[in-house]
Amino acid sequence: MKDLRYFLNWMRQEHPQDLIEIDREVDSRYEITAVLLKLHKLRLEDLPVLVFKRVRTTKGEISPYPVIINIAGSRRRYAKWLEATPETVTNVARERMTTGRKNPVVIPRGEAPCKEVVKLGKEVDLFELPALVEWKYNPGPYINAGGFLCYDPDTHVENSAIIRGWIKSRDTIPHHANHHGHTAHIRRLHEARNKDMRAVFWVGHHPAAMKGSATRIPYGESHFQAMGGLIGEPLRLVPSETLGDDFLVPADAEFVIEGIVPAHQRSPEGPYGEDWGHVGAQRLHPFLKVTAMTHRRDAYWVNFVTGQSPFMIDRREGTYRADIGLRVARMVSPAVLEVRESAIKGGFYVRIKKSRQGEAKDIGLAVLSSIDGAKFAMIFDEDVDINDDAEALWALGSRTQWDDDVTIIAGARGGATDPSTPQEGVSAKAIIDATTPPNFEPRNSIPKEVLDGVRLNNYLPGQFFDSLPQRLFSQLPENLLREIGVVK
Amino acid sequence: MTERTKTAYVKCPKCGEEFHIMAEDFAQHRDINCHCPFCHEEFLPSQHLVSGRL
Repeated sequence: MKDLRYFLNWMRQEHPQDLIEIDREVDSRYEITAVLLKLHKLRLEDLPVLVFKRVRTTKGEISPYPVIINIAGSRRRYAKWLEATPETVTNVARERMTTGRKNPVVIPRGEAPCKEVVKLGKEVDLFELPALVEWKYNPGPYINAGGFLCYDPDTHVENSAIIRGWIKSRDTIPHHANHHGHTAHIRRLHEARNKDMRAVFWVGHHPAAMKGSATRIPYGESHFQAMGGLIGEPLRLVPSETLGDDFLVPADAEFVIEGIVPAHQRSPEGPYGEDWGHVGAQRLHPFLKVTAMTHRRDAYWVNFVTGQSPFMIDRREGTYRADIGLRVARMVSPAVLEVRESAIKGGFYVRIKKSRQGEAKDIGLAVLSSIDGAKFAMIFDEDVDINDDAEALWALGSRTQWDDDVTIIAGARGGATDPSTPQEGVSAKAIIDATTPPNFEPRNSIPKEVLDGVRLNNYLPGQFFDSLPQRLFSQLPENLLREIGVVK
Repeated sequence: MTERTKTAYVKCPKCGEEFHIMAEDFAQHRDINCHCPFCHEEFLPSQHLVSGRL
């Protein structure tokens, strides 16, 4: 079955240099963030998966659970899991989560790895977890790479979303579910009936399963099916311990934390180092009152280090939110070829095969309205490689006039944690149409046969290539490696 | 950018550190304490405002 262990073994076989196990003791408070801040300075395209084996918890104890970070730190790796390329991975992921969906299967409790250790009620102490305190204002350790699972009270269709939860006490987790999202919608359905909501945080699974949980799908569709589509096999589920047999949880997760969200009750949550790179204010949010925690005997804990865009799962993969934008934009126009999250926070690149004027604006509206936190959509012609930020920014500069090509939509739905909004969750958005009109000046080019005929190693000495760091080679396309003689 | 009023700053009466809260949330629930992220003291924000308003 494809779970976190399967992924780690795959990494050992396919990318052994990018799976680094660290024996040195580290503090869960700030130290791993510091490691990532320094690592980021190396400007790596693919971040290595780091496994910290000796993490000191906020209780001051060395945790028995290793901490994994950067689990999704590479678009290239993500593409390889899905048997796609970095250029096609958004399309492939979207297909797997729609036409390729797989129904989950239910297995007995005795066969579920997540039930190897069962702690009920007072036995639970969330502070034993090595959850990270990433930034200075964070009030304590946070679960931020966990799927938050709940069920629609009418249809019993589940929703699983990656949201954050602060471990406030040994059994209490105030959590931030975006007001516009499906988790908050389901909570409101419960509260309208004055009903408490059963819910679970599950942590640690194959990154494709996490992706299937994190992605936005139409309300009422099953994340379990989408997760199965992405991992390429039915997701295995098992009944909960304390929430009833009808509350099914991912059987192959590392940890499952079960509980009740009391209706209408709120707790302070935050401040939190948001992915916008600023400290989000303390808010009043619902909380999970924990009833049980189950986990594997030798469980791994998975955390993100959010708070700076480059570390985010979406930025590195470039697909976290882009795939829903692609799906919706394609409903608007078949001209859409590709959608990609940009290097600029809140920005999305869209590549289209334009056939008529005005098309770009319609597509921009679709992308902006379908992706949470999207502030501007930049629409490009098909010749622009939107997987290359430098090329996209070049086109933005040379193919736009702001008075003509920028459309601003005031007072739209915005990212809940964006510090720049005047009102929480309300934001201006912009469409930047960088497509060219008919009769536009052509792009510089040379004859293809000349370009294809040039091999760099016929011009530059071997010492030049020898001086390039080996890691750079792993980031270059194979045809270029062949050209410079690294691959024969 | 014009001044933003969605947040307010409070000062913890125990440790003296300042942090910001979402004004609208606490204005709607004036009986709920905020939580100092530094020393974990809980207190009513309306009584310890430094800037902004609820």
